[in-house]
Amino acid sequence: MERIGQRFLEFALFFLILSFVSFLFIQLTPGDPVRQMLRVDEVAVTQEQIESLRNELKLDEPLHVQYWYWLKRFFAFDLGNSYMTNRPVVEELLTKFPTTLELALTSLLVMLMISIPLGTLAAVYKGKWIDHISRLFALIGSSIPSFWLGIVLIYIFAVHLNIFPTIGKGTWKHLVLPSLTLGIAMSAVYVRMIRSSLLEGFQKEYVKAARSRGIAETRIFFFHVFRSALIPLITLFGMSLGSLIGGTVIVEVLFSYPGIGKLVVDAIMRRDYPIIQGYVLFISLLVIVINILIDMSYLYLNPEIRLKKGERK
Amino acid sequence: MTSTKMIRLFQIWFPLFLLLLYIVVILIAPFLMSQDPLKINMDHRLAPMSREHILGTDHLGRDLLARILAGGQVTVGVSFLAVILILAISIPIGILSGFFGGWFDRFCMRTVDSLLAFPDFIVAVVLTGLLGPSLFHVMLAIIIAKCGSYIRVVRSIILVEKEKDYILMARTSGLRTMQIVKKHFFPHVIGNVIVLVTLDLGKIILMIASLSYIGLGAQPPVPEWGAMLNECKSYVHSAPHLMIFPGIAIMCTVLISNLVGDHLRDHFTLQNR
Repeated sequence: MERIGQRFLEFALFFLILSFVSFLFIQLTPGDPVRQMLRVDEVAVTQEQIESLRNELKLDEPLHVQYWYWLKRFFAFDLGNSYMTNRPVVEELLTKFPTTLELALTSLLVMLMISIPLGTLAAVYKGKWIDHISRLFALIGSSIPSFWLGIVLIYIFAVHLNIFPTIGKGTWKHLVLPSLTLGIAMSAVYVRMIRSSLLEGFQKEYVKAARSRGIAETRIFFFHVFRSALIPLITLFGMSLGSLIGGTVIVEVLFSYPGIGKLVVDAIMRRDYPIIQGYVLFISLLVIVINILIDMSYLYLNPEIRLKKGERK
Repeated sequence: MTSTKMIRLFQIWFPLFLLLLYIVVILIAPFLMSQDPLKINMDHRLAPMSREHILGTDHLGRDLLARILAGGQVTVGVSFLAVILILAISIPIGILSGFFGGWFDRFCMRTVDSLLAFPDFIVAVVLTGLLGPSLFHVMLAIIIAKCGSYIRVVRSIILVEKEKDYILMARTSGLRTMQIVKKHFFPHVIGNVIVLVTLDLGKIILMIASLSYIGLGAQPPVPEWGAMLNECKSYVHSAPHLMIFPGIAIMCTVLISNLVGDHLRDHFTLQNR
């Protein structure tokens, strides 16, 4: 608990610094935000309009005062409005996030469905053909650009076979190709990791002991090897977070899937800074929360850590 | 140097030499092409493979082979430059940070920690987002996103090495700090870092292509593999060759650098054991 509290404090401090940096970035970016905002409507802008908006945004105040206002609004969950749609940034992010989450979860599912069986088979039949196939899969999978894999899948399943739609969201069918793309791209790394983690498990003394006691292989596998391999799997999940968040951006753009990744890329193209800023803060919050959750799950899963805690009491 | 040692060194480094050769070939290949990768010829748009256009032409009638070769120059060239700059930045900072410690070390490590808390692809996306879409900004963003882990690796190598006896010996025998860094630390760091960087080269190429694909990197008409795939997105149906070849080009290059990286890593971990 102590450790988690400490990490939480660290992250809070980090978040504060980050908020300042991201605030500063927007101040320093070229171009006048007021003009940016008014430009979106594509109508002639009067000097008067510029002045009034400038006043409204407190852009005439010194930087630290601006930051203070910004921070105050930030804690009231007000990150300003998008230049593009004029809707609040927080609202935009929150309405788009479940869509991305849906994609991320189904991709994770695909990843696990590929990498756990393949990794397990490769470990159990080490050196056999299935092991070689898994190695080949990992090698090619980590060399294929995920967007290209997506295009190939589109070509096969949408253009030729015409089974799945290629853009947008709605039915479950819309999710199939995006999550396959991301899932396959991610599983390449994990197949090898699961394999080596299981192989390590097979070498453990207690596995040998269990074997010498005559316990059935399948029982040993599920109760001893697989369970201890779960801990690295959780680390893996933490590590996959990066490729997952990054991957959703690419896949969402590729399939025109309306999640936060697509939102931020569109925002970048149109220089919609409030959205970009909101995205940065949102993602960092997400990363922080998930890291803390992973830490907590270690405590729960790893008997060594759990027992040590008991000793201290 | 004995001949067995020579053979061993050859075994270890020859694939890296091949990789470098491959990169050099990619960098000079476009100069050998007669076709101009930027020349638009609307009479020949979406032409299939033929004698004149070996891989066919794209939606503006530009020769695909010329564009792929020129695109390699851009994609691989930028990645390679990024790698060199990453090394040029992170090795000195890492050595300083590990060797001298103190406030500089703490400052570096805090910065690196916060940087590494984020997925590097997201760091790159956001930085290009703030700087504005362009290939140069993508390179800059990748350098910033990747430097952190290298600084940390270099620092940790130095931390281990500087406690060793031979450094103490070097000190007592009167070697100056700069000389120690040059003679002892640098050679130690460079081998490890080259292995890492070869493993990373593929990822960097993928990152540049991906960022260009989503429209943040190279802007048309610059031939860049990711950007080319983005441009031909609407022609998947009518001209599949437009999407097949740039993809294969990316995949082969990444595959080669991954293979070489794996080979080097295997050798080095064996050596360390």
